[in-house]
Amino acid sequence: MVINSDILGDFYIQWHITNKCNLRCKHCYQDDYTDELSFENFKIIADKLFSTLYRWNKLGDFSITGGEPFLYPWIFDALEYIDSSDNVSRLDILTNGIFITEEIIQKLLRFNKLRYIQISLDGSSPEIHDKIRGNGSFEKSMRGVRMLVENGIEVRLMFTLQRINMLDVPDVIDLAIRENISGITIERIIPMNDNDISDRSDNEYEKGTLLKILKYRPLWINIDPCRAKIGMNTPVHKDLGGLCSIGLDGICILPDGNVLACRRLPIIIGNLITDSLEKIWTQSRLLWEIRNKNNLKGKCYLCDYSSRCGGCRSMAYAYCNDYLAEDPHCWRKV
Amino acid sequence: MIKSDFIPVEQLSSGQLTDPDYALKRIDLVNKNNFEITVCSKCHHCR
Repeated sequence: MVINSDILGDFYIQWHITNKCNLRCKHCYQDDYTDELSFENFKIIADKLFSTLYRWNKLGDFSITGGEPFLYPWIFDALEYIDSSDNVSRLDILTNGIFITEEIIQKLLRFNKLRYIQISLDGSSPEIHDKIRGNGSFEKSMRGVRMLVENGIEVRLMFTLQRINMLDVPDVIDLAIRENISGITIERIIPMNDNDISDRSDNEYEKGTLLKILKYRPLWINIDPCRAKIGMNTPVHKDLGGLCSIGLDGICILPDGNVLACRRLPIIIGNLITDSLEKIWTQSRLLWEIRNKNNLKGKCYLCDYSSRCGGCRSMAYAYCNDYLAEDPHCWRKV
Repeated sequence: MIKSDFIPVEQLSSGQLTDPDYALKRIDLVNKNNFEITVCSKCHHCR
């Protein structure tokens, strides 16, 4: 069997090192804002990850996040620990950008594997963004964006589409072009608390924006380096948007060491303080159930795209309490 | 949060237990030549 080498890439680790956060965003998936990983346990987990990656002959692609990662007391020790490992290819930081300063930027510039900083922005103006993320947060986040860009650090945006901001998508794209931001991910909201479902706008996505794809899939918008055009990067299917790789090439780690298949699927599949990555990855019942597309139900089982798409398992769980149920937002008629 | 359990090793094949890309390879095999997407878009929408 010949395997396209592109698919056998790095192992993705989204690592939430702290739950502490300076914001209380309306759509946040956290129900706790206190948990924080000790640096001792950080190193224990990191060493476990590095040794497993070595045995697998793989490199780690790390996203460090929170909560707000720049509130983590040992953030630069942690970044250094990851950056200096031979078992790591790339390093990203997912943040609200509010704590970015010149001093922090100078420290960030030391990291050879830092690829980009992702900043959450839910509107093109304070009038929209601040209603979701709190008063004053737009200007503070944009100040961070501008400082990073001015210092040559790549910035990407994360935009969570909801009723209050759905008409703002074109303006956010314009903002990104104007601010020399390299790309935007636009994602539908996955309800993880009581407020979220009422904030959804399922039936209004299509008429509210020209970006029909947002109805059912995240969209990665890559802004061309010359800033002359906007286009979806590859590989993104014109009908399917950004595909999810849940259970195939990465995990999510919480501050207490618990591991999730996806941050938005709140079912613990192991703990990296007590379990090895090998055990979690090879023996998790949830992972094998999700990997076998024959287990999917409803439209997702019948769909001819199911072997590679399979819908959003987190959305199915959020709406149906069943991570194998059909994706309730899929647009396809099967 | 609820917890998912582990499958006993006796119920898994050697490929499942040793190859971290086992599931990905099988998906690629199924879709070979009839589907253009072979990899996650890495858009980090899961954040």
